[in-house]
Amino acid sequence: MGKEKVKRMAGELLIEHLSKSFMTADKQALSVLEDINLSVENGEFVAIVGHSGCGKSTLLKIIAGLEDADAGTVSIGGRILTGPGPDRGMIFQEHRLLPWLTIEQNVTLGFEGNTRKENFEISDRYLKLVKLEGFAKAYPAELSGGMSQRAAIARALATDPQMLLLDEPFGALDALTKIEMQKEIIKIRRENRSTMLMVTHDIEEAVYLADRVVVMTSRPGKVKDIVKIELAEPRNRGSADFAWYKQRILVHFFDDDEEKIPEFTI
Amino acid sequence: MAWTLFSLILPLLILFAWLYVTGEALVPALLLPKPRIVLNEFIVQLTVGTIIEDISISFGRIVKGFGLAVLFGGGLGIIMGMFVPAERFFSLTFTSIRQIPMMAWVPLLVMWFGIGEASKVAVILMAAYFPILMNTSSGIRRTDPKLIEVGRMYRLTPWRMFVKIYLPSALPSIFVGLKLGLSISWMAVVGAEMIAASSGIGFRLNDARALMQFPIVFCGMFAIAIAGVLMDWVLTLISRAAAPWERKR
Ligand SMILES: Nc1ncnc2c1ncn2[C@@H]1O[C@H](COP(=O)(O)OP(=O)(O)O)[C@@H](O)[C@H]1O
Ligand SMILES: [Mg+2]
Repeated sequence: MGKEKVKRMAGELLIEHLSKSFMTADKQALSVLEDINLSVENGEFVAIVGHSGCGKSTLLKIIAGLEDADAGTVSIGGRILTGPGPDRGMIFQEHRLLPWLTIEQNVTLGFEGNTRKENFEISDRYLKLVKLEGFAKAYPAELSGGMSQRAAIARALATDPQMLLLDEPFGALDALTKIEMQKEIIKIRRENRSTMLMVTHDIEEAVYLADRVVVMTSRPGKVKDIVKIELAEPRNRGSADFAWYKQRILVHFFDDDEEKIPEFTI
Repeated sequence: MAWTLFSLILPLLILFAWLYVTGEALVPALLLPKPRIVLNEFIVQLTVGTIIEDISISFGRIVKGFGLAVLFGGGLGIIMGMFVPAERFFSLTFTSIRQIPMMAWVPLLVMWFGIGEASKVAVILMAAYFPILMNTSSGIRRTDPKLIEVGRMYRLTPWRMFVKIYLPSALPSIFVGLKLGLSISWMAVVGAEMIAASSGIGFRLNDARALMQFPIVFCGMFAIAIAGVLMDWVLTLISRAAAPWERKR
């Protein structure tokens, strides 16, 4: 019963009555999130889908502590969040590696006062995990898009956060690399047992990875529906059940037949 | 290599034109001496040593004035780049002062600091200060907000935020400022020495003109150009060494 156990019991993420608006250039308040309520259990994988501009990134940034909410609270295990913390890691759509640091220096960015040896060990361990061993001394410009995103994942994992926030992390990758990365995420989740909250515009990705899929309305973003995905792992993208869930989520994006759930369930 | 040869074409053409014009005596030899004569004079100057000495006196002034400009201009540039209120506070004043050509400062600075070393160093400081300050501050300010977010996410201390994110991001812009500042201060010191000095390459040039030693004037001008190019080249090498990641792009 060490530190590890305690950290893993950090408690559920609770978002209550969260609202956020931005000032536009012509001094108008633009309501982006309105009364968001959501709870995410320890170790759960929740995917968030919604139209572009509905506030998904803003929601993740508020949870990350990079933006302040106008109203409402975000708490983990009852503790209200006020800023970034070591309990949360974020992976952005762009890899956001610092171009002037080597991959090893990027991966160990979150550590201060470590010895060379400690940094080497951390980077070695996490680069192995994302299959980038041998690239520790390379600069980001020498890596392909998929490799860069892997390095970014290693950087987020290195600080061992209890919760990973992923903002369309594979949106810029080609289809094959993307599928490979999704498998990688499943593997990492199995090993680390971390909570994951992923924004995606790819419904298939959401159904493939998530325990629950949160569907948001167009701006101002509200929670429109939460779909629990009850499919056995490993999930088969070609199965009829899989297609049913995809369709079940997809109908939300075509307003006219909102309530209609396709009939071909087995 | 091919490009080096290519960039030598124009200088060679100019040299041939010079040879032709002076060979055919199309202009009075007093106004434009033959390349041979200038070259001979150059060799004499190099062996007797006055030009090297003159250049090194001017260079010594550059080191002091430019060093101070890097210290003060770079320092304040960083502060103005990182803190918006500081930027707002200084911006109007600095933009106004910058409108004054550096040579217009010489009379005032000589009045304040005399004709000796201090006024030359002050002229260089004035000349190099603003390019360094402005480029440093705009480089820092243009740091990608997305990378700043990464720094906040990993809760970097202000110092690490500066060293890991702001400074490397601003480095290319800072070097633009340093190069600009260096070339302007080289011009400034030569100009100031021509107006008010008893040593240095600018003084030598003016002195030779007064004594009608035109080959020396030409040698002096070549020496100024060569020294300027060398200094710029050294800064380029330093900037490459300071940003090893740029070569991997
Ligand atoms: N810092 C900001 N200032 C002003 N408006 C913003 C800011 N960040 C986001 N917005 C606006 O908020 C809305 C939602 O943005 P975002 O959360 O990025 O949407 P999504 O990730 O769902 O596509 C957009 O209309 C965007 O223009
Ligand atoms: Mg977004």
